[in-house]
Amino acid sequence: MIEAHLKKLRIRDDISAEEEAAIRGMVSEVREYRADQVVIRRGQELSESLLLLEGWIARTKDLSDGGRQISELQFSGDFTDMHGFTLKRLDHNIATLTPCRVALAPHHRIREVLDRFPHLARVYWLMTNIDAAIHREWTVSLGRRSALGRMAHLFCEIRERLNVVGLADNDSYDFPLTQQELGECLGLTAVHVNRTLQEMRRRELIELENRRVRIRDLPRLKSAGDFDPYYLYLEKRPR
Amino acid sequence: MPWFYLHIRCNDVLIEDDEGAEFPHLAAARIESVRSIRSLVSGDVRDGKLQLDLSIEIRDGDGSQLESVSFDDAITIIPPSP
Repeated sequence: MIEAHLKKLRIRDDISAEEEAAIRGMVSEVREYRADQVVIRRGQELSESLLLLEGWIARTKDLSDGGRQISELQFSGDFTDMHGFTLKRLDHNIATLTPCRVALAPHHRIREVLDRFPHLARVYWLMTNIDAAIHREWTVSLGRRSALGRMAHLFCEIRERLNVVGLADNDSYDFPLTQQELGECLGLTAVHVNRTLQEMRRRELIELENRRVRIRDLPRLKSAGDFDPYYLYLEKRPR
Repeated sequence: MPWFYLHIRCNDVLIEDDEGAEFPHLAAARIESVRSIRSLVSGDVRDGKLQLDLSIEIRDGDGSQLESVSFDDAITIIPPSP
């Protein structure tokens, strides 16, 4: 059940058999959500964190004009809100983009595991640090990259992150977002996303059909997005 | 909610919207069209160009054109003071 999550951790550090058993014991109930559901609302008091098993989830903020901004995408193996353990409430929503299955980790269980295994506390601290690094990189995209640059960067990032958990296959992956949702990630309207996608196709960088992305030229796509996976910390070091 | 398709018309080239989106009514689709022109034009200016012959054609699910929203509808040009 938590294989994707363990893969994600093990890219960055060794997790012993005992620690693995503790993580398995930390998660209990599995819940299913439909697409486009707000699973955690900004301000809600939190007593559990959610480990995403299947589907795509987003961290979102609602704007006063009725619009929405996505500040991060989450995939299988990601805790959507481990930071909720320390924060106790969130400054954003957690919303499903597709139907999702999540496993619940009650905070009291997380506390027990982290008290018994200080190394795991550092590993989960690392994972929230990596979330912050992803947010910083998105800030650069929104602040300084062109529409095409932002989009190319995001397609590269998604490929890298899905590769870790075995969901990208020879530079192609399922891509369930609507143009509206992709726009919410990139600070573009859906129409602008459409034009940018057409431009990416014209330049033979990607194909996107039937909700599947196929990267046609990875080096040129990385160059268009100025992408370097450095900020994803895909390296194993003792933490 | 009804589906609307927002196609981009630029210098006689049509970039089609294959996906469309739900809007409560045509007025909402028109507002989104204005936002979209502004987004497209901002993007262009960032790259050093400005296309004046730019409009969004709003069509329904059958392909019938409901309305066209132009550059002038979305952007007020402020000339230099005399």
